[in-house]
Amino acid sequence: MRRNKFLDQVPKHLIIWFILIFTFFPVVWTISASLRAGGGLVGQRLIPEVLTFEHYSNLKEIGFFNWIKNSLIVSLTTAILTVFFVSLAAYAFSRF
Amino acid sequence: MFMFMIYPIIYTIQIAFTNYGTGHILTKTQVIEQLEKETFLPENTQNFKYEIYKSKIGDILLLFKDENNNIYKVEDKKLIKIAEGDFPSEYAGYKLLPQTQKYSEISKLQNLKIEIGNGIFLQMSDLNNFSTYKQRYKYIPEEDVLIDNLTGEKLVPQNGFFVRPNGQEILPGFVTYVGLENFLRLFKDERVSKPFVRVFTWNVLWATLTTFINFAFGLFLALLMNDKNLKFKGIYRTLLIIPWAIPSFISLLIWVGLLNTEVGVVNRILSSLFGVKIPWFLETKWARLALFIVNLWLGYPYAMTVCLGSLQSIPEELYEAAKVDGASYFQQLKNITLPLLLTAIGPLIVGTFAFNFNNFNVIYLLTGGKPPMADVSSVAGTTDILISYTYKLAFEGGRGQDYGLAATISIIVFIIVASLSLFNFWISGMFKREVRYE
Repeated sequence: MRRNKFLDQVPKHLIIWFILIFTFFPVVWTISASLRAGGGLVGQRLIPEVLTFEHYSNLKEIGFFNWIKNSLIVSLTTAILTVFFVSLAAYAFSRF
Repeated sequence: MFMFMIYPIIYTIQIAFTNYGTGHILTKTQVIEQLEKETFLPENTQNFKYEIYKSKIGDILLLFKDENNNIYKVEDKKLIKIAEGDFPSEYAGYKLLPQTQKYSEISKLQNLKIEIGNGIFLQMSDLNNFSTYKQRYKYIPEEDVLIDNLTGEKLVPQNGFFVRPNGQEILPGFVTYVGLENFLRLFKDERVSKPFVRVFTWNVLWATLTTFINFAFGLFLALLMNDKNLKFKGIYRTLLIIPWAIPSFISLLIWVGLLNTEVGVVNRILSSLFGVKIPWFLETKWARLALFIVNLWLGYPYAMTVCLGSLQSIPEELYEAAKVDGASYFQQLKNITLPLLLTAIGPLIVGTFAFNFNNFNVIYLLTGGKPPMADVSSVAGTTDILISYTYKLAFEGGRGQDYGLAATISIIVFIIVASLSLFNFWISGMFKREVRYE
């Protein structure tokens, strides 16, 4: 009985695995592109011939941390301002 | 606060009633100012020979000689006579430039306009001469007309241009209110209405189908995962939510690369398996299919999560009762799961519909509205939806930008989305009542 139950589930697992491939296809491709020597996104094999972390070490040169800083500034300011103004508005709504 | 919120809306509505766009960028005041700067060569013009003088520190002085050999300088907008006969070799610390150097300075003089009073200007008329010019246009605020001093015509403002009596329009045009013309253009002007109707149809089709596909897929997955005995359920669920966690901006750009016709990975796999190459972004039907697939990738995690959540909130007793009554799986699905599920996620579906109706990211980043419409010359492509069409009209128009029309379309989009959300409120209210009665 227990064995039958597991067999029943096999098609489900197969379907989910199929969908997982669909889901992860672009993600895996991106990761592989980031580890691959050269700048192309297309025309290479999935498993890169030459593994390199060059692109990650390049992050600093192109000002990546500066962008992170900018993103943080923008998101933090917006978050704080939004909470502040929204709570003002919400107070007004709840009172009147 | 209210002002802050409402101002952009008012401004958009205002623009929708104007002809703001390429050729009509400036305000009327600015146009008048610009036109009043224009000059013309009257018949009784006076010619002056000129020489260039330079001081030690490089300042430039111009001296002029009229036909009677009087030498003048210009000071306080007046011609002042300083000598007769030939040009002096030196004047007040300025030295005469030799002929060889004179012509290298001419480019600086070409746009020079020296006012000498009474609306008369000295301007260069040819290499050796300056001539008196007169102001061409004069604006009379009381009558709201522009007088052309050359022809003596009265120019009337009309449709964003100053128009001569013979109907000729003077450039540049200015921003003016055109009433409902932008709205009428959407329906009457062939060049606008044809792409608009197509874009609109595709937009509705797109929003409906993609929402339906996403939710059907999400529901299917949720039903699979709702099995308590399923192994690795937690892991699967976490993994399947991942597309939701990646910024759509980035995943869309990745998809563009993957779907590239010549070198894209998808096409290489397809051609090695089946020997076909699909022109993803070159043909309308494939571009649309690509949009559906990619939006499915982006959107099903949301649908799945929502469906899973509401599936779990369906009381177990209902199923037990159904089993006791001998209902099959599909009978349970039809009579218990779907009705209860729809009650819960109905408003969310409408919300997703509204979101996809305005899904600028997917359309603009994936296909950019391409391929273009074959038979109509318009900025709109066959996969453009209203919002990307608006963006193109406003910011990257091929035949110039048309903010007025763009604002009009965005008002229409606003009306549609607003009525959708009203509808949303209505059905959620309705469903609530239904649940209470059960």
